[in-house]
Amino acid sequence: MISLTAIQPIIRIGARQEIEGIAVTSADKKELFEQVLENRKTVFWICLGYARDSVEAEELAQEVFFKAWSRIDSLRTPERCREWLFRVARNTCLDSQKKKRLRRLFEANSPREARDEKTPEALIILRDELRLLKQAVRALPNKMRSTFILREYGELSYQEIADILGIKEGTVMSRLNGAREKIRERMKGLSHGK
Amino acid sequence: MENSPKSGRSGDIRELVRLEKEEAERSFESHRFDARLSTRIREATEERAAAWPVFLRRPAPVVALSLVLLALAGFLLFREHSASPFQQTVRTISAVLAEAGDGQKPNERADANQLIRAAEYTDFGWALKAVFYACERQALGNINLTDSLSLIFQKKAPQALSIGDRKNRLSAGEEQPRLRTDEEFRMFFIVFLKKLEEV
Repeated sequence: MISLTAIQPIIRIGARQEIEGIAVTSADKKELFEQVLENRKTVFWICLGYARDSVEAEELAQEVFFKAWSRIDSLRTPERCREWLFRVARNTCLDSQKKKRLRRLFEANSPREARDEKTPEALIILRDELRLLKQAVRALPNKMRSTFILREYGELSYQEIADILGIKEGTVMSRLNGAREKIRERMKGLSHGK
Repeated sequence: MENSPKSGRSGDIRELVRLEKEEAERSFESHRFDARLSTRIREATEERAAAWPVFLRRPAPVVALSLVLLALAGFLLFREHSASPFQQTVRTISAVLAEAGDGQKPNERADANQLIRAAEYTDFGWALKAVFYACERQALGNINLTDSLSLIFQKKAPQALSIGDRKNRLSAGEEQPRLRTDEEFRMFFIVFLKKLEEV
């Protein structure tokens, strides 16, 4: 378990400045944020599903937790903070992708990902496959992609995914099957067309 | 890393995802993550706390705010000191009528300035009465306007007369006058003018 000592004093300071005199609320906020922070790995993985690489995923995860900290007062049902956090994560990633798409429109000649030619062959193959997977996941329709990422990267249960996306468990399963199918096809197509 | 799945292309997506996560996890340092997050939160908290003084330090918003406040104060002062046309009419007539007195006893409220106060409607009423007494004495008409006026003044009325004024009048043995609302008084005044024309 990752230590929360770095965060705690700040939350206390923030609470004192913002909601002076409401000790119970600030204590609740602190406790709730601690609870939320316990899910940092899962959030990082979900972000990884949407991001291009781990660096970007970490940036996104930072953004997610910052948003969570800023909006934690709006959380009405603390027992469902996991679901709330993952929804924040999904929305943050989707927003970031929208922004990136817009940026790409203006930067048509952006440099491609550099490839380390000196890496061992096995690593090159893996990188290649991961790149294909990323492309295939990125090409999925939004709903399918979210379902796939929450399940495969976030390792969430069908029920949790259904709650986050506001759909039925059956729909989660069918979307997952569809997503896997599409990814397989896409990866095949991409590897043949290389 | 060595056991890279050759079957990834054909279908072992889950395994590929696992490998990706494994690799990403190596670069994910929890301590660094926490430190970055806490710095960011601290900065945001400080920024938020300092937001108001920063706003005040900028000249343009301060000037704009001052102008808005001045305009507001000016508007309130203007509203306080300027009366509606109807109130202005009442003040003028009250002052003129007060000068005339009721012709029966010495006018104690001859000072026109004294009449222009919160109790001006009542004063105006009393002044009107004085005019009607004068009219009656001169036999200008057969309508008993004084009686009808008295009736109206006594029956209706908001209690806007100052307590001090009321006490003075009661101690002077006067019948307690009653004040009318703006709208009632306006209507009444129109009727009065019509009747005066008839007379």
